[in-house]
Formats: sequence, structure tokens, C-alpha cells
Amino acid sequence: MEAWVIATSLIFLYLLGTVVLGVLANRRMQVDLEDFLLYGRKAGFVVLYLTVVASFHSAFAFLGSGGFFYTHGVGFWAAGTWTVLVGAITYVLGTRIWALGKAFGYITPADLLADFYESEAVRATVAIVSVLFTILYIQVQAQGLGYIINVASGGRISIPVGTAVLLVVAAAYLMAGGLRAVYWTDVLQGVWMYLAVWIGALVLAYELFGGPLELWRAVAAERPDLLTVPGPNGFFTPGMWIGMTITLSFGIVFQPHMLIRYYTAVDGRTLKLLGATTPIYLMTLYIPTALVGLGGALAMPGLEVPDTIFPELLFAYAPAWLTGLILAGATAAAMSTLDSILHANMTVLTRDVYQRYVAPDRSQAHYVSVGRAIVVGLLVVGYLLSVRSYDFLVVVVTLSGAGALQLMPGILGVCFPGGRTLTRAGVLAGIATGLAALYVTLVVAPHPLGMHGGVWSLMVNWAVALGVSAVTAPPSRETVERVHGEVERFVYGGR
Amino acid sequence: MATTLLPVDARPHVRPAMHPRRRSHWIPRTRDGWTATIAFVALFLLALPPVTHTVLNRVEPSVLGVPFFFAVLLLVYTALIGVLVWALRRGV
Repeated sequence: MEAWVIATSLIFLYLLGTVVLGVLANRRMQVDLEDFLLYGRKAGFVVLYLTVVASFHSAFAFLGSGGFFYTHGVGFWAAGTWTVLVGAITYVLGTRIWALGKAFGYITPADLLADFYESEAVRATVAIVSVLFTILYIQVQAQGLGYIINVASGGRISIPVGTAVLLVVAAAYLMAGGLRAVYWTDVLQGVWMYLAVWIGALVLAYELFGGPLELWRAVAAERPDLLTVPGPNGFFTPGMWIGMTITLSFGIVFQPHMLIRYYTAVDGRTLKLLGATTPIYLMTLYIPTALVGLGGALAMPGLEVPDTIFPELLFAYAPAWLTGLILAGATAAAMSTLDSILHANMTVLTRDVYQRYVAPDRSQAHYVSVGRAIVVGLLVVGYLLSVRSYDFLVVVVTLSGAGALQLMPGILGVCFPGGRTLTRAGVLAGIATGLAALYVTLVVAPHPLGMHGGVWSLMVNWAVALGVSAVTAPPSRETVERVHGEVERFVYGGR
Repeated sequence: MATTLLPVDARPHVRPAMHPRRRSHWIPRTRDGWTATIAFVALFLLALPPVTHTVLNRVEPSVLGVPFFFAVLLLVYTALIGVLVWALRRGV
């Protein structure tokens, strides 16, 4: 049997598995908004663990990180700092978000911020930031999916057709089973992608160099410039290292699909365990991608598109079944992020827009139906964005990685009592100026003084938020006491 | 003689933009909390510039066959995870 047949068949087998899980999830689903959007706040450790790690790692982690090691060398091992930081953020901040969500019935990030800052303007701003800066991820993941299936089929399935098939499958199981379907498929995807990347990297290391240690020795002997920072192209400067650490930890955690996951935990202890242990998965995934990227720089130098190093090596040196298995793993990486973002955007639009402003007093079944209709709309938008090119999208994609970072002052103000209380005007002004600063430091004059634009924007945001809060009215005493009192009770109890 | 309490916001020590303060959540309150915070921050600084771009920035000596930069950072990351697990076990 030809290699492309095996590779494509394995991907479709994987897709079939996700659809079956979606159907099973549908049978367990109750017609209830909290069940449809938040898994009924009953997610246990294993499911939550695998959905968080699978959502965190997209097609970029699977394919793009190998390309980064290939081009810029070992500096991408900075990935360890942001993945460990994600664990610490979950441990310290995620648990507080969970406690407040449980106590006050929050479903979206905007619920949390609008309640504390007593402002519909905050709700609308957070909802817009949440959707705008993540909807572009749908485009990125959809394009990645189309590319993967195109590569697997040897060009027989075009990128637009592949994108359409995979988008429809993801939307179908999301509509069928809500967040439960997303979580269950993420379990499959999380396991599959981790095994695939490790097995693929080890097979290639043995095939090409005789083992991982021999691979390291070969790189040290032939390309030592790849084993130090800032790397052969001078990319990983100190400012870039720090900037990527901040934007790829806080910036991703503050995206709605990650924040919503905190609400869904069955209890606070589960989230603490999650925080302590997720870095094990997240960080160790970059060990095999380092082997692929650095080994690939020796085995296959001069690639025009470095991100293709993993599939290129597989097609050249690995058996067909393994190539199919691994490309299905790449599909899993992209789909697990795609379905989570589809779900998060559906949740924000259903809860923060439709339920709040369009039709406030309808039945739970009505909102579930509207949520499903919104998924169809997002599916169309995602497909159109992925098969056409718009100049303005290039700008928005550039900004999207650090867009959610602008929620940081507002969220920390809610979750960490003590010090000066931020105000609604301060938070709004901070977000607005932070986004403006992000545009300047990422698009107009990228990374001034070698520091990542996300860090500049965050500094501006904090300064403005604190400055404006100093001269404007804080939230009412009752609200501050209610919310901060709940945080105090949760974290310290009677102490 | 009965004392009359002023409304909270009228008390002279409360500034207009602030509410009566809770104890800060930015500062640990327990010995284990301090230990975990200091250990995590200290280790994290080892994984950031300037350490990464000076002390760690070399290929040799290799550690168990793995280049120095990569191997030492792997140890630091593992230690950081260890701190989180320790904090969990201690109920921080």
C-alpha cells in the first residue's frame, strides 16, 4: 500500500474516533447551559489535565517549534520557562478564578471582570478582546489542518478541501456534545500528540544518528552555533527570551478558552494538582521537537519552509504507518486548539452578547440551540478567513498572541486583594492604551530595544491602569467586600 | 458614653480611591508559603537572562551526553516543577 494512503487513512480513522466521542458525549449531555458550556463544573483531574495541555499546544507546538529549533537553535528551549510559569499561574491564579466562578456563577471571563468592576463597558470590552484576538487562531489552526492533510495525501487533497473537512468534523462534535465532547476528544488528542511527537523524534534520532545522544554529539561537532543563544540569526536576545516567557504564559492563560477551563474544575484541589503537574507534559514536549529541529538542521539543511522539517524528515526516513500516526498527532494538536477556541467564542457570544443584550429571559434549551447556531457561523467565518488572504489579518494575527495579555491588570485586580483597588475607568484605559502600544511595538516599530512588544504594551497598560485608578471611583465597597472576601475565604479560610 | 462610628468612607485614614484593606494576597502568610515563593523565584531567575546568556551559554561540558545549556535548563525546569509539587503536598 502506498504511503499516502496509509497516512491519510490514519488521519481519517482518528477523525472518526473524535466523531464517535462527540456522539457519546451528546448522550450524556443535559439541556443546560452550564453543562453545555462548562461541563457542568464537574471536570476531574485526568480530563482537565489532558484538555488543558492539548489546548495549550497547537499545531505550532507540533510543527512550528521544530522549525524554530531548526532555524534559531536551542534558544527555543526557553519554552521551558513559559510552560513552567503556566503551571504556577494555574496554581496561584487559576484556583482563585475557579473559586469565584463557583461562588458567583461566572461562565465567561467577562462575567468575572464586569461583576467586580460593575461595568457593562468592561464586559463588552473584554468580550470583544476575547473574541477578536482568538478568532484569528481559528484561521491559523484551520490553515494548519489543511496543510497537514495536504501533506499526508501527497497533494491529492487540496488545502481548502482538507480545511473544510476538518473544520466540519470539529464543529460537528462540538455542536453534538458541547464542552463535554471537546474535553473527551481532547483526552484522545492529548495522548495521541504526545506519543506521536516522542515516538517520531526517537525513531528519527535512531534512524539518522544512532540515538539521541549521538544526535547531540553530531550537532555539537558540526553546528555548535545552534547550541547557544542568541542563536545563528541572533533571534533569542535577552529581551526576546523574557518577552516570549511573559506573552506565551500569561498571554495564553488569559485567552478565553484557557480561563473558561478553570471554571470547569470539580474542585480547587484538582486545579492545584493541575498547576503542579501540567508543566511536566508541556515542557517535556519540547525535548523531542528539539531533537527534530536540531537533528533536521544537520540531516536536511536549507529547507525553504523550516516548519515543514518534521513531516519532511518523516517522509524521507520513517515508515509510512509511522508518518501517518504522527501526522494524525499533528492533526490532533491543531484540532484540540481549534475546538477549544470555537467553544470559547461560542460561549462568549452566547453568554456575553446574546443572553445579556439580545434575549435575556429565554429557556436553557434556547440558549443551547443559539450556541450551536453560533458554531455554524464561526465555522463559516473560520473557513473564509483560512482560504482567503486579507491584509488587515496579517496585522491582527501579529497582535493576537499578546492581545489577551491586556486583561492581566484587570484580572489580577479581581483575584489578588491588597494594595490599591483598580477602577473600571483604569482597567478600560489600560486595555485601550495597552492595545495601542501593542500595535506600535509589534507592527510599527517591532520590539524596541530588543524587548518583545508584548512586554512594552503590558508596562504601558499597568502604568495607565494604576494612574487612572488613582483618580477615579473604585467599585462599591459591597462588591469589593463580596468578591475579595470570597477570595480570602477560599485561599486562607479562617486563618 | 456611647461612641458613634463614622461611615467607613468618612474615616480619615481611608483615602477616596481605596477601601479598608484586607491583608495583602501578594505576600505569603506562612512559612511554607515563603519557602515555596522564594525557591520558585530563585530558581526561575536561573532560567532567565542574564544567567541564560552568560553562565549557562556554553556547549561544554556536556551533562550525560547532553549539551550544557540544554541539560542545565532541563534540571532547573525540573526543580521548578518540584517546588510546585512540594507546595501542593504542604498545602500552600
